[in-house]
Amino acid sequence: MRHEKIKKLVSAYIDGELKNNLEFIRKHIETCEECTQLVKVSKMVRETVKDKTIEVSPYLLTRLKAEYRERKVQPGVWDYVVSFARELAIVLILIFVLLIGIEIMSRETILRIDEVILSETPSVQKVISSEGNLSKEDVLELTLSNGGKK
Amino acid sequence: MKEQFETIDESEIVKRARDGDEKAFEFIVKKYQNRVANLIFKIIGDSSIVEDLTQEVFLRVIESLREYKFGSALYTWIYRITVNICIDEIRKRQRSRAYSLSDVLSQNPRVEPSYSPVEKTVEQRELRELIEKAISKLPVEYKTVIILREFEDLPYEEIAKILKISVGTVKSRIFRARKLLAEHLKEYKEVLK
Repeated sequence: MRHEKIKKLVSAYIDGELKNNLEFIRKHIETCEECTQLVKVSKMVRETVKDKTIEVSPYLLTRLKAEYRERKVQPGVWDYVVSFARELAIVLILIFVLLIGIEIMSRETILRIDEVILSETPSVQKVISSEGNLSKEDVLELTLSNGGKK
Repeated sequence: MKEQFETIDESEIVKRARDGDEKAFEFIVKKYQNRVANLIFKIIGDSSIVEDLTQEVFLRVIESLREYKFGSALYTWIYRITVNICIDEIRKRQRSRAYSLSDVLSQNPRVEPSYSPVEKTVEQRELRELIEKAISKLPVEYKTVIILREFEDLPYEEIAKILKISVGTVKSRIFRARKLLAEHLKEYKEVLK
């Protein structure tokens, strides 16, 4: 096993997180100066980190409550942004719905105009009534009469 | 108040706090305030800012209580918020200026750290300062795992949950942190014997 990998196992061993190879690692630490050093450093780091502790002031809770109330009362910049964005979204949706309505209505008007024009054209009426079975004479007559437009 | 809540399940206390029960929230703050403050102190290394950041942690806790998922331990969630606030603070400081623990220690701290009652010899103090300096030089992701492990005695799995990383990553970060610490302290081999 490579030494780097063993050192990683030593680190897990220090933390009591090693499940296998315990005896092997124990023996290795005894014989390896680098790993012995790693164990020593870890122990000292642990002692140092645990050595100094602090206690918060008894007024923390009072300050916390005051700060919370203040934040609740004063809307932050984000609140303004959110409320503006919400209003803007509503306006945009209304404009969109209005535009769609106008578009649908204008389409219906164009269709109706087309239908009226077509229904008043004799050539179209003839084509419709013959169900597409026009004779050569009919085609010639319609061509000469320029579609039969009034 | 303490007695009132001590017999109640923690998830029930959270529910009450979420529903606006001020006493329930007070209980949570009092239960975790010193643990949070010490975690901040260990990660940032600056006692003068501990109170403000502790306050910020609990403000974030109260503001986001609705996001708390029942089933995970409350302290895991509070620690996650704490670590995130610490990382933000370190990044903010790194952006504004390079700082070291020795700079910080030279300032006048608002919260005075207390040492264990055992009388420290000069050598021991020097050694501790060396180690503190070495820890402060660690990259924040290594420092966080080593503090959670060595100060909080948390198992790898809990650390993984707090930091939202895999157990394998925790294992490897702790190993790298130790390796870096050993390298930093190499030149003081004589002191370490």
